[in-house]
Amino acid sequence: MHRGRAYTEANALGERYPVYYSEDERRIVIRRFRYPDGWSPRFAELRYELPNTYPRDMPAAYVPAALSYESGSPEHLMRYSSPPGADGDEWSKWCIENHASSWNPEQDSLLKFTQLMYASLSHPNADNPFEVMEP
Amino acid sequence: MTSQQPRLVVPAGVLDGLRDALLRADGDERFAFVYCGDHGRRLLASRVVAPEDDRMAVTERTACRPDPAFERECIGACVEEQLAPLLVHSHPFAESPAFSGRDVARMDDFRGWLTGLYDDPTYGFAVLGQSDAEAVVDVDGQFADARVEVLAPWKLDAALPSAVSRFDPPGRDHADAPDRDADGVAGTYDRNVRAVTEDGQRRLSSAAVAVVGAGGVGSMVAEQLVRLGVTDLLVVDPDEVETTNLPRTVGAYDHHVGKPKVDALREHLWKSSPTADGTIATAHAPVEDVAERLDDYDLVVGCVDRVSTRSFLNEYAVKHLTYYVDAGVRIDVDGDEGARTTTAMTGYVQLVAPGANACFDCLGRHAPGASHVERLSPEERAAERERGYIADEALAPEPAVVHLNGVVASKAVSVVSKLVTGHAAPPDFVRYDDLENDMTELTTEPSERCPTCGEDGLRGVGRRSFGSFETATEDDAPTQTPQ
Repeated sequence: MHRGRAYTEANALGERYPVYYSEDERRIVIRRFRYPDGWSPRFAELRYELPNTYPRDMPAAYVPAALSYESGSPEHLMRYSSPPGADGDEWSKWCIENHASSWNPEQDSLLKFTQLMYASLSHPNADNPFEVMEP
Repeated sequence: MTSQQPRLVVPAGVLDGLRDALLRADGDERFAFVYCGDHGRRLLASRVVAPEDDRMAVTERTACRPDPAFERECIGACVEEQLAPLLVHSHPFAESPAFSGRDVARMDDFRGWLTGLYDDPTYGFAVLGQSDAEAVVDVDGQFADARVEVLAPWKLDAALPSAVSRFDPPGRDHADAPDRDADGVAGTYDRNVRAVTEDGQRRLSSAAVAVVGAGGVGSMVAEQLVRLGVTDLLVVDPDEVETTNLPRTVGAYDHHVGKPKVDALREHLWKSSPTADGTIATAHAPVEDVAERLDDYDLVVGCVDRVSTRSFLNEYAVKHLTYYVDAGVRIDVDGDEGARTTTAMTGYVQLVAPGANACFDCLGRHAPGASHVERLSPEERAAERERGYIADEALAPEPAVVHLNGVVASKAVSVVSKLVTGHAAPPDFVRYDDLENDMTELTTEPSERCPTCGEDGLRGVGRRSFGSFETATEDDAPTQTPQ
């Protein structure tokens, strides 16, 4: 993992959100993320697990298991698929990696990833939420 | 730094860049910083930071000095990036330069200034002449001569005469070392010696090689290395022998099924070693979990089928300025079972010499889709397969045949042999097309934009740690909508 870059990007994220960053665990938790309309509660944690190949590979994203969406469980939400080392009932995986997003390790960052997450959560039932993301 | 003689490891591309910056047609002395990773007794030259002329306080025929503000900026940047500064200036009037009395006085002043600001800083100085260079590193408050090792010296525009090789046999660095005779080299390895010379054979015998992957390619690579005379070998593999491995894995038999591949291979390597007096170490673990063990080896050969592991090894090599030989095969088939056609049967061997040729990522060889699938837990994999995120083909075993593995393994060992013995320049990349019976050599160039070995990448940074943190958690903390 590019530790220097992950640290710098986590710091940049920390200027916008309350953030926990662990280099050893390769983990970032946004303590208070504002979820898009339709999600309840509106403010909750959002967790990223960084692969040891970061930034060549994008992070894996997890939302609290207690989070719910107004029209049921979106397909991209994998209930009780927890990150390594977490209790099984705490988190659900959000399958952002499967949306064929245009992650570019040369220029994208954790801030960009957070934008992608917001877009994805805003259109949780779209096959590819990034296609409806405003430029 | 330990009491052993320090070493400055410089990629050929970095040295060429330094020469371009410091040896100009006007004949004036010039100055540059080289930011270095601090890796025990080795300083790893990461990148050159040369001031524009207007950031130099003095630029003359026999003197140069950067603007103090530039100097402070660079030292601060090094500290922030957890790198060590190497202050380099040129003596364009000399072929083989030496630090002058004025240089030494300035170095002493610098040491006083720097140690007043930081505790136990690692730093060094070098002076560059038209053909050669001299370097020193601070060791416990004293300047110690540092040997300069060029990574991929065959790539240099002009050789550095005093440079040492990573593969010099023991004793070459120490004048009082016992005279090492042929050590049986001229006996057991007589035919090798006739091909790669006695000196080349000694280099092979003293090389420390890590082989990652003990499968169809890796087991053959390990056996050939041992038969070639390599005696210090590490084999890493997390898997156990399966029945389907037996047609391709050297040293694996029925009774090994269910046992670690590395154990089966170690037994075989002991039997295969002509001298059987070496060190064959194994690790039954993912290499990501035992990466620090690679630090003791001169080069790494990767024979794995996981793209995420190949990327990890590539990154390790780039960070630590280590040679990485990546070997693999690929067989493409069309059609259904019963009417299947083999459309491609290829092998490749890539030599990564960080800062001298292309790395794995420069060539875009990392495959995010495959890497994603490899990282999933079995439960996640099943769930994603059920949702249609992963195609069944992505989870099916890859086709494999022993003869393709054999060609690629031999070519990988050939690259290692050239690298270690120096009897010929190793290729950057070799592609083998089994259907066309064609082997092609490709020359590669590093990419400045590469996220791994480029300007903003990880070249030579070593093993750094920036730590962890937690920012404000109060309810009134910022809660922005991403824009």
